[in-house]
Amino acid sequence: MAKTPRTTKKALAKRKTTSRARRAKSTKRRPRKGGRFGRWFSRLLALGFLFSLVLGVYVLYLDHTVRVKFEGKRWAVPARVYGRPLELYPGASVSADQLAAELQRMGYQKSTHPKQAASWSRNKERILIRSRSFNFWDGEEPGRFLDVRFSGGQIEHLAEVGKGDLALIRLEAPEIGSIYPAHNEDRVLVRRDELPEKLVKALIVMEDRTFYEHHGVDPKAIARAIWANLRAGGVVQGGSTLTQQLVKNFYLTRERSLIRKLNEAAMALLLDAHYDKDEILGAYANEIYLGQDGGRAIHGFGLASHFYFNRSLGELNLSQLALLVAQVRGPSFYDPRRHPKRAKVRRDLVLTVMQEQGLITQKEALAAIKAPLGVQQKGDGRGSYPAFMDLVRRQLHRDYREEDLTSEGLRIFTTLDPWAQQQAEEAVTERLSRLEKGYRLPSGKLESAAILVDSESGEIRALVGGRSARYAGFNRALDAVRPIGSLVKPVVYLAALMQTDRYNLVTRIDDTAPSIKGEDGELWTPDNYDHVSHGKVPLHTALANSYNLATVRLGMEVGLGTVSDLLEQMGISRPIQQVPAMLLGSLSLSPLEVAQLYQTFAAGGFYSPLRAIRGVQSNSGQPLQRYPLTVKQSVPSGPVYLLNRNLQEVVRNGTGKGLANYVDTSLNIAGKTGTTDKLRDSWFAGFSGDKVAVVWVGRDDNKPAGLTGSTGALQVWGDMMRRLQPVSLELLRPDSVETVWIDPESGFRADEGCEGARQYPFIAGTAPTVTASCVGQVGTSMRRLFRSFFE
Amino acid sequence: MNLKHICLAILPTLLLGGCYTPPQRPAEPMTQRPSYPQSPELEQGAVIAPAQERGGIQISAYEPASRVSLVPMHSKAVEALLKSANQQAQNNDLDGAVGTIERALRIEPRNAHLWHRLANLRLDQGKVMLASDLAVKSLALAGADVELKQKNWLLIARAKRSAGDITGAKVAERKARMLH
Repeated sequence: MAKTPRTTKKALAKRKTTSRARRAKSTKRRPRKGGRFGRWFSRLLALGFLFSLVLGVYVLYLDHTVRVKFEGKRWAVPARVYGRPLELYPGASVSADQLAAELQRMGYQKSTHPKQAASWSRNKERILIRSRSFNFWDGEEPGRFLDVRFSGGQIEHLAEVGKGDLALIRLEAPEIGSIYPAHNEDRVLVRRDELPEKLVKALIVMEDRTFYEHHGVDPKAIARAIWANLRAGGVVQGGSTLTQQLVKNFYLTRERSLIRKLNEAAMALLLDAHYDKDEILGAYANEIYLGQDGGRAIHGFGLASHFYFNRSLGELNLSQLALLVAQVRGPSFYDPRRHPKRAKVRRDLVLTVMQEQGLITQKEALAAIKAPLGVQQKGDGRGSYPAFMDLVRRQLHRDYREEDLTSEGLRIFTTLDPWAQQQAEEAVTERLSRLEKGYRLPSGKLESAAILVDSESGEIRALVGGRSARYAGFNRALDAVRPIGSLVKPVVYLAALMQTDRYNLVTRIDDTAPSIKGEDGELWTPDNYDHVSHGKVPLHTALANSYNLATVRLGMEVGLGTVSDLLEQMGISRPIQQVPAMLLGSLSLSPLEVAQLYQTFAAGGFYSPLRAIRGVQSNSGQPLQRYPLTVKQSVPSGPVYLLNRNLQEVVRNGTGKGLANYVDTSLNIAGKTGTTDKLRDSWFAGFSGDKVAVVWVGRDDNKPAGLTGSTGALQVWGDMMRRLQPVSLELLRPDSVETVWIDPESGFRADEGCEGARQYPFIAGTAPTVTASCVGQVGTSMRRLFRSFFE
Repeated sequence: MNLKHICLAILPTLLLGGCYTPPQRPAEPMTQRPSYPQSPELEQGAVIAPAQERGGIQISAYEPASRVSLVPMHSKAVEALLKSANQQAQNNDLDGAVGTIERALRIEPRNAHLWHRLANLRLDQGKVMLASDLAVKSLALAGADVELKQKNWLLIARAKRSAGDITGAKVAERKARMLH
């Protein structure tokens, strides 16, 4: 060691180790100075080479990562779900209020003179609309300037301004939700050319002024930031370029470390080397995190625009665009809903800077600064139909994989009518509170489910899963499987009426206690609700008054197997326990299944599977799948007609009489009440000319709710239907049915001259042949003449 | 790959430090429920009509329902949709035509002619069972329209024949003939 000449460089000497020194001794003969230096140099070189190699490989790896992700599918785009488009045509029963509500829900702006797309004006019974264009599965519906006039709750006149009358038009389908993946990122993709120029300019001026000049990293900005941060003694300014911000959001974790920072810079440079600025900007605009909606992260300007303003990006004005740019710095800190003042200050700063940079005029800036934030309440428009969305998702899962639903940007067209949904929700909420007050029931305990279906097509218009319909939770419409009580009776009576040689509406049946032994040998003794036995009663009276004893006797005569088969034929796939108690509704079904059952009645014996989805379209607008309208006659139309006439009697004279408090009796509504043991479940199912609805009221803990079918569910049902303005039920008499005069006293054939005689429908040839004594009596013709004046 | 850019990439990575303020993600979990607008209060007892007492209820309860008229009651809207469905069918876009007729049926769900048209389209698509079912539906709604009923029976006969049900086809044809 001591012999080592002092000429060796200090830096090298310091790094020497003993072992190396020993090795050096063994090479004494070589010229020491140059040799040593050369050896160290070559080692350094080798080390440097190795380091560069490793770094090079790493950079290649980063490069690969950058390119694969950027060029591949960049984002999982959630499926968008749309409700039914509103069809406008002369004669459509759409009121001006209803259309106004629909336009508001879709984010149309009300003005005095609609000039831009998605705006409207109203002058009493006349509405002018500049509609948006919309890409339906069967082609594009272009945006138009519409003139709609109303009269008596209907559209009276429809025209395109300057072009003349229109036969019909459909507005865009309202967006009702999206199906996003488990990591809860939601976005609406926008192309670079869809980004408003003012937004792009504001973004660049606020976040990265040299975006178009730098190579992904801006050393000057970094230096500036370091200087500013040093002076402030903390992090006050960032030097990140948009490219770096994109890299950070797109490829990296949220961890803050030097390594990550280095990766970020390297990747930013690589990204910049591979792609042009506009591509990077486009990606940035879709990736940037701009807000939080509960568990849903709002990514990209496209979705943020809907989230904050319920409008698409292209429709935003200057102040709204500036607010979005303001969010980039901190969507939580500048949340315009929670911190409107802070958000406004930041937005105004954006506007001021824009003006200083000459992007906008002073006048524009001042006007925009004066404008309110214009942020919509959360829950307006999309995203507030958890029960229906749940159903949609379940139906889609039969045909699609979860990842396709959450990443392929599918467009799902459903049957939901947001207006009807709102009416149903309001009816449920208001009625339950009133019932609790009116019957002194514990407050907040009652729960409910409601479902509204289109009679002929089986399309589901509205679905309420609980009292707080806007919050996701237990979906009672689908999952509350409860005993249906007397709702099953129509099936029992239909099974009887299908045996046309044995039963018709006036067949006498015995309403006395039957003695039936169950499988366990125990005697089953059902009872009537009023604990009274009514003796021999006409079949229709037994159903209208929901007599239990008569129903059990009838059902036992017809056969449990027959009733159970009929239930299956009408679309009930659940296994049915064939016990006598099923005749009184021990069978448990969900409200959705009950709706399926009653839909078949309403459609005259034609079964259509209930549908929530009409079709699915790919991201690019290609139709992928349709869920078409299908029908199948599951029950002959004659007996169904008789049954439906009987169900109208239930509402007119029987247990459903209370409906008259809500809807006019001239609507001829058909329906049935249902009540279960100890008043645990209260049901009402029924239909008008166009809609089938089912309502269940009860408690989640299955304790007695304290309400019968008529005091509970019927009230909700009536209130809901009243709001929906249903069409009256005009039953079509099938060819196989004839009407015959009957003397109600004896049940014998009468004629119109008989006192108290009524016309009843019968399957042709099955009416009683025995005539009542009044037929052909003197004075009959006089009475007939008399009647024709008064009836 | 462009060497210059790689070099550019390597060098600054060695130089850069952590000096970028990341956009702030929400630090606190979003636990609060979104605030939805309350449904507007409805006036007490608004449109609720009193129960109507009807003296003559005994007889009106079981009067026969009115028959549908002979002439199809196409509204202008349905007329327009039928026209465009025909256009689509001519252009061999049967799926499109089906969709358009379904749209028309949403406007006039009891229009027997629309059901018949749909049955026809389904038959053209080779969906014979569905075609036959739709024709049965059309029959149920056809009322006194004998001509339409005949067409439906003949369509059912065609559907049954192509499904190999010769007996069923003959029965349907007989029913069509009996309507004369």
